[in-house]
Amino acid sequence: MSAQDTLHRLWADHTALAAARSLMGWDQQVLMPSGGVTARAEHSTRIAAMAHALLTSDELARTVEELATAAEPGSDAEAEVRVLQRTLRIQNALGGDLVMRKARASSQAYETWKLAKPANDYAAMKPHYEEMFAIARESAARLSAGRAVAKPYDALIDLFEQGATTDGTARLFAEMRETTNELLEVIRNRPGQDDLLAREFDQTKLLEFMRGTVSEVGFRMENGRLDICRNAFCTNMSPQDVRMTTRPSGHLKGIVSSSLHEMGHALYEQNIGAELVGTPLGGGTSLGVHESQSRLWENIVGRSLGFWTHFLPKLQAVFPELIGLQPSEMFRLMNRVEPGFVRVGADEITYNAHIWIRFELEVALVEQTLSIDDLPEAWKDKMEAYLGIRPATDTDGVLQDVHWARGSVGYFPTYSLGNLMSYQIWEKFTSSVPDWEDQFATGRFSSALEWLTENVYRNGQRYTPSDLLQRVVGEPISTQAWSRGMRAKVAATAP
Amino acid sequence: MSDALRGLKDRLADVNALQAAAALMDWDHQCFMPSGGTPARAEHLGILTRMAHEAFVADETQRLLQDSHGEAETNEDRAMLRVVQREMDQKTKIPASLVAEKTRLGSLAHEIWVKARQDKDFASFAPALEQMFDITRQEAEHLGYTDHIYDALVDLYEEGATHADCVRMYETLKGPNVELVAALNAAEKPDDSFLYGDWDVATQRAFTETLIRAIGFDMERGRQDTAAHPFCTGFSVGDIRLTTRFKSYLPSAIFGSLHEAGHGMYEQGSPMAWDRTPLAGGVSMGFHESQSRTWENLVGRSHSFWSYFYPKLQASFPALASVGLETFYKAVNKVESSFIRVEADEVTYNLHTLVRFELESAVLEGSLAVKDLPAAWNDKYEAYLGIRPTDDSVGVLQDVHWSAGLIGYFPTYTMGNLLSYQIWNTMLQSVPDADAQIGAGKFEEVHGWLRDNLYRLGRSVPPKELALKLTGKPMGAEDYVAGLSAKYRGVYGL
Repeated sequence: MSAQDTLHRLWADHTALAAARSLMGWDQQVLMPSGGVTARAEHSTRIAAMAHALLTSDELARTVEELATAAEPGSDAEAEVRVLQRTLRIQNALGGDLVMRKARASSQAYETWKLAKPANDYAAMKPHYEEMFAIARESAARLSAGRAVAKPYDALIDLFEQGATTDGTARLFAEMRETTNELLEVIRNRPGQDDLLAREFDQTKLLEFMRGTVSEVGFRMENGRLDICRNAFCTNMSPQDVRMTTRPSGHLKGIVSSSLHEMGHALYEQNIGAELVGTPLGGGTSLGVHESQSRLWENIVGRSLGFWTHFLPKLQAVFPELIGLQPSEMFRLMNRVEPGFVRVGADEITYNAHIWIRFELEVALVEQTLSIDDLPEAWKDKMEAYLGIRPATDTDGVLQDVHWARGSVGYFPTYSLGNLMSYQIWEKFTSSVPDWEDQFATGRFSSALEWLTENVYRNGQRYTPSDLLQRVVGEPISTQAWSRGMRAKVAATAP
Repeated sequence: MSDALRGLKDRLADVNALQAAAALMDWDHQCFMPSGGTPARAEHLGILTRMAHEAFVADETQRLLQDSHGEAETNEDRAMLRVVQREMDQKTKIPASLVAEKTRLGSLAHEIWVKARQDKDFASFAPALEQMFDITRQEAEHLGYTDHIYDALVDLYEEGATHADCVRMYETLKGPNVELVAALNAAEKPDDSFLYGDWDVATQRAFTETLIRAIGFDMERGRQDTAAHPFCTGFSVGDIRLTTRFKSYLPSAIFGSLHEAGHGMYEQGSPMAWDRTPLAGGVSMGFHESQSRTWENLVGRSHSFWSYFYPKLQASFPALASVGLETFYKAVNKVESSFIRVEADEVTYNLHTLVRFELESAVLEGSLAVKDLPAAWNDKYEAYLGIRPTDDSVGVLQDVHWSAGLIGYFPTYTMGNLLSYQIWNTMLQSVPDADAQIGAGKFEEVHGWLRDNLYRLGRSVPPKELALKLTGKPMGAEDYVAGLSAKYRGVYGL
């Protein structure tokens, strides 16, 4: 059997195990009865351990070595070797014991979080956060061993955004903060506006509206689903089965933006090149690039005048109380800037402050300059410092996100990095399709989806995130395009 | 605990995780998966099933199992080893080449069967079926038997059951059952036309959920969803999933739900300490079916059950307001000879399985040729049920089982019927007012008795021993024949 055949066989096994874990995760979050928690944690942990054993097996290591010697430079085979070598290095460094410990701990932490968040019960989550951050520190130590790493957090952020560093990310965030403060100052001096969307809408009708909207934009319903879950996420069992969730809420802007956000992730996964499906290249290249797409569809498309020119009449057909509202008003309402406690659905300007808070806190927790005990207050202090508001509860504060309960430490920065990349990519797109907004206004989204598929989605993991960005926009990640985009939007929404 | 035993349990836990993943994938496929996901799901499911099999029959597992015998210190461990050894024997006695051959033929035969049934053309299916019987015969030879080739096969589904047991069971049953069916066929049929209609699906769903909750299916440890066919599956003792479906015939969802809830309550009743081990679950097809039938028929089609629930059903479906309880009760207990097994009522049902048992035994013995099956089938339907199938799609081609090589399976349905009455009668000795309790909507005591005496034993006691332990006698048809006759002569006023 050739090395390529062996890889194909092993990767098929790995893909099946990964699909099983994805489905177990989706089911646990969307449908599973509470009685299933303990066994599901055990099952999922064991499947994770099997996948880990496969990735760290001598057979796979030998196969990758053999493939490395034969791969033509610039070929997909070479890209496969690159992705495999990175995956094997990470898995070997982490070790089976830590992979299982994390799988088990995160399953339990998630179940506690489900109850602790609505109950404002930080004490219940404390031991879980202790464990998840202990695991994060141990992961950082193992991943950094024998490597030149400036900060322990570097090893964690690299898991989600290959090549990103703590200091580099902090520098980008500092630049963003300047633009943000400048624009918040402009907005503060604007007269108030009635928020017609600030009321409870029927949840079922909202969900149906979003199902119709995402499928009209280009999400293939025969290859996916949109369901209700307490946390919004996108997962997939294969590119032909990509599932998103949105929250049980009657908050129109929240549901619209969270659904379009997950749709962005889903469009990426649904449009991976067929030749890459089932290979090590068959997925999004990084979380940062993934977030660039979720944020792109959520914000740049989903808050555009063109988008609402087309969809507002449909929304009004579902909610007649909105009849009379003009697309231009809807555009302003969708882009209304207002500091709030909750990250998901926050406006584009204040959104990044939510990320900086989490980034700074998790860096401090990993470096142990902050204790889990002091986390809730530190959160509130930072919220006050960045956005001038102080949450009264942990439900609206440190407990609001699922990420840390899942053990995803190093994930949050990718949202803001994604914001930056989304505007870089969008500027490039609009230079080749300048009439995009007119197209959206008449319900045509295909040129955007096709351009993104051609330049980003179909490539899967063929290029590293930084290489991909370089290929698409001709420069590394920067804050310029985003700043231009934000200034333009603030100007366009002037009363 | 010895190292071997600990090692064995760890490997079995891996097997269990892979099986649970596969079961979840299958459930999801039938309940929630978008249609485009099918090809990848089929591949993933195949891989996980293969991994579970490989992990189970691995040399290392066999060695640990070998070394664990004699090291078990508790009855639980001894029972677990017995269950695992039996499964290991079944899975290792048949050569891998024969398993592969059967799998290959199975998928081929399935396609041919689907087409043949559509075309009402048995002849096109006969060669594949002939091969399937051949392979099954070889399988039986590898598995081994003492008296009859059928013994090796029926034992796969009902541990310890033999051809002679089946013959005895049907001998007792046949005469009285054929006679009862003939008498009921001759009597005036209850009107059940009012059960057909355009019933609101959400209301049906809510009502069936009320029913299964009431009888004791724990919704904290399970759920009910919609699928094309009703079934029950589970991923752990704390997570049992039922499905039902909603049709224009209102009882379809109601009795489908009660039937699956019976399976589900049996599964939920295993001790939590046995979760994810080979001891959790139902002990055999017959016992499993006995519990689905208990809750569907003995409870769900009883007069007392509906004297409690019928007003609630009427409140949910105002179209029934003008239909009285007695009329409804008679309608859901209507008996009528019909061609299709899966649509048969509980009285005629066993005659359907009897036909299949006699025919598959005859083919295995070589006394009947595959090509002669259709005529033999139709003759038996005429003799036992008084009706002759109009074509093979409603005759010999109706079931999927033979095309899949499930030969020796059909009698377990009837065993379920027999056991349900036999266990019920035993329960009545401890809960003499069960009927009155059901009439008051109280199921705790009946459910509690079944849970304490049957469900909590999981798979720890082999079925034959369990029948004896539970009811004081081996499985027999006597309770069933008497119970059925009493009930239906009552319903029909004979």
